[in-house]
Order: sequence, then structure tokens, then C-alpha cells
Amino acid sequence: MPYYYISLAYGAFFFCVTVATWTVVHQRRKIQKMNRRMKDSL
Amino acid sequence: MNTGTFSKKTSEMAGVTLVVLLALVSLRSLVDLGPDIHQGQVYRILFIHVPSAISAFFCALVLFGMSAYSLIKRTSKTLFYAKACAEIGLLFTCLTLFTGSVWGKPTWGVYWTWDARLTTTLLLSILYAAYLFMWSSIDDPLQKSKSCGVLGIIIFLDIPIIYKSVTWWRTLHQGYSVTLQGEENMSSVISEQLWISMALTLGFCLWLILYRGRNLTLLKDMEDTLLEGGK
Repeated sequence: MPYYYISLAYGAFFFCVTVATWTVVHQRRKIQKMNRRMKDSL
Repeated sequence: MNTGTFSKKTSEMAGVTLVVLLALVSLRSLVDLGPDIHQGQVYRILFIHVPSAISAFFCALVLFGMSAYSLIKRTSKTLFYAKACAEIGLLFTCLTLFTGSVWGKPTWGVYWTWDARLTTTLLLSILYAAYLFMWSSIDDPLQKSKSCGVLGIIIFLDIPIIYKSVTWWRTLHQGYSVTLQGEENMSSVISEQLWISMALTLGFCLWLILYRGRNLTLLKDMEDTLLEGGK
């Protein structure tokens, strides 16, 4: 039974850490893409 | 590849490397270390619970610095990084509450109790959420910087209350895991593992604040350029 609690805690921690990393990296790539497109159009 | 692309890739790689290192260190805490004499296997949650709490406190400290700066200098320059601090602070506070309650069930028999440490940590998450709500609801940058600056300082005031709550009130929560004097009531192996996990989580937290803050600044710059172009 303790393994259930350990996996729940570690699972939640690494889920949040991975999602946060992916979100900011993906957002930066999107901003750079939009920036390039905007510079081309202006 | 030019220098800009290189630095972009380096900062991206820094974050990914920190996550991978964090995973490797966690693997060590799950596989290599033996069970605790009192709590058995479940004590392993310590290696993510305490670093999450320390990171939430670190965000409050950085937010306090930025808030004080913006109030003294009457500037809105730090607004985007302050918002990033509140977002990351909220994330780590929620992780602290979640991992803590998952640890509480097998040790105390309940997921939640209105204990002083738990309640003051819940208050911290509410304050971070209030900060983000206030940030989005005010349009004028100077007014936003002033109001959010005051709330940023209030958020920081909660940190010593959380830290001292285990001695000020009778609580279910265990005493200090980490002290500034370096006194620890745990074995050197556990303590060493805890310090490594804390250093890596703090590094990741700092990277996240800087990366997210820069994203918000870039978005604002782009918005301004679009507005100027439209005129």
C-alpha cells in the first residue's frame, strides 16, 4: 500500500514538472514563429 | 547557427537537463535508499514534498524583491517576471499541498486536517491565486504594479508564519525538516539526498521563472509592435 501513495505523489510531481516545461518551451517556439511572420509582413 | 539560436537552444536544454537530472535523483531516492525506521517506505515522498515547499517559498522571496523594487522605484518593469513568480509559486504550493496530503493519509490517517502548517500553506496558494487574479484585472501598468506590489509583500509575510507554525501552534505536522543552522534530525544519507533534490528543484524553479518571464515580455513586445504597426 505505501507504493500506491509514493507513486501518486511522484506521478503528480513529474506530471506537473513535465507539463510546465513543455508549456513554456512550446510557448517560446510559438512566439518566435509569430515574431518571424510578423516581421516578414511588416 | 547564429549566437541567438545557440543561446535559445542552450536555455531550452538547461531546463530539459534539469528535469532529467531531477528524474535520475528521484530514481535514486526510490531505489537506492533503504526504508525509514519509523515510517517505512512512505517517507520517500519527503524528497519531492520538501523541495516543492522550498521552491514555493523561493518564488515568494523573488516576488517580494520585485514587488519592493517596483514600489520603491515606481516602475512597472518587473511586472512580467513577478507574474511568472506567482504562477510558478502557485504550481509549487499546489504540489506541496498534494504531496503532503498523499503523505498524510498513511502517516496521520487523513488526507487533510486544519493543522496550522497545512492551513497557512493553503493560505499561500490562495494568496498566489489572488495575485494572478489582481494582475489580470487591472489594465493600467503603474496601478497594476502598485496594487500587485503590495500583495507581493503580503504573500512574503506568510512565509515566516508557515515556517514557524510547527513551533507556534500544537500541530500534527513534524518539526523542521531543514533549518538555516544546518541542524537536521535525519541520517546523513537522507539529508544528502534531500539537499541534492532541493538544489535541483530550486534550479528548475529559477529556470521556469526566467523562461516564463521572458515569454511574457516577448509577447508584450510583440503586441506593442503590432499596435504601432496598426497606427
